[in-house]
Amino acid sequence: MEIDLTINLPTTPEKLFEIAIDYENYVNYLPQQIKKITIIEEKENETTIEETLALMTILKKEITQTSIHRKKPNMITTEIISGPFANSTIVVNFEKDNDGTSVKVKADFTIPAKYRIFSLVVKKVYKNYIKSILYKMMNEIE
Amino acid sequence: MSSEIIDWEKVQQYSEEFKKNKPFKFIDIKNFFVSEFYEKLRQSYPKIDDTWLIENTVGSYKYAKNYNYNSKSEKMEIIGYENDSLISEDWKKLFQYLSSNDFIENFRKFSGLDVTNTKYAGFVAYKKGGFHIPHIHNNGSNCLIMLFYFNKNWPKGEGGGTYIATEEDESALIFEPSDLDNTMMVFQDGPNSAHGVRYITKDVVRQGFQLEMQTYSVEKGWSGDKGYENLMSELNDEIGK
Repeated sequence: MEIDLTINLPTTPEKLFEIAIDYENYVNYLPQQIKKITIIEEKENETTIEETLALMTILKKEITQTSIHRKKPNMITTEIISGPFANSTIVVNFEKDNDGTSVKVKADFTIPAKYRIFSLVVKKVYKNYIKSILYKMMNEIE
Repeated sequence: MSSEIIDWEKVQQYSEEFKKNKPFKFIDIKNFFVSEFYEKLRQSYPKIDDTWLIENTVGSYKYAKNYNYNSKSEKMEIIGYENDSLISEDWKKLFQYLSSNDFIENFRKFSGLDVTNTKYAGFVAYKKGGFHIPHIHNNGSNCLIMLFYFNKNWPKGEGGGTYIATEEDESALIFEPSDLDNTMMVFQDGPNSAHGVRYITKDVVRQGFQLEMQTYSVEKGWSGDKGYENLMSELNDEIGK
């Protein structure tokens, strides 16, 4: 299932990118949904993370997944390597747009067969999570 | 008392437009409150302090101070504001009026809906960084949601007013009130009633007040609760399959 999303925000790509790669801080943006983030391994441009998520709109139980986040200039690619959404990929670009930043998110989710009935809900919920996280990141920028 | 607060004759002129609007019934009405009373409300709008709730969720970032109906009284008035020293006498007068037959009957006439009671009312404010992601309550069609704005010189182009959309996506926005000085926005809830508040970029405070009217009966309770329960029940059934 593919998800495309673009959000324009009034800040520079560099400032937003710096905040976006502070992965441990994500629990503060959505404390009800992102329960725990543990950095397992950190290399120069690659961070492996274990995340505990409570996506109660979709799933009844908390899930734990492992993701590898790779950073390039103003770009983050994420590969989910374990958990119910394993083999999913997410690419986030932070592009300069006039005085602001255009954040372009392209996700390709692998959804287990038993949850496919909820594809539309997953799509909506995921978009809302991304928007909410980005808006709350903006509040960290002064 | 109503003539001091709302000029209903003027408000009722917007009734047909409200009923005709698509994809669901909505309208914004300028100069909703009688101007002298409005100024008193605006000037005594409570300051945001630690008595307000910060709603910091996936869907929103906003400040709220809510009051619910009195479930222990047959009159079912909105209560909780009476002894709040931060609420001015003019606001207390408004709170009293919101549960009155006059207010409810006028909105029944205006909307053509079988709403019978005010369920809750309260202050809702957004500061810089505030937002409400587009969403649909779908708590039933006998439900009116109203928003009143108390902001002079709201910056041009800035979010803050509750917008109407054709789906739960900001890009599907079809109407957004831009003048938030004595403006009232009202819409009927339902399966398509998408609405939200755009992210606020400037250092401003959007002062608003919200209330919800539904149908209530002793036997069935609130019409909206039923809708919500049904929705959750259906969702849980689906999840359980």
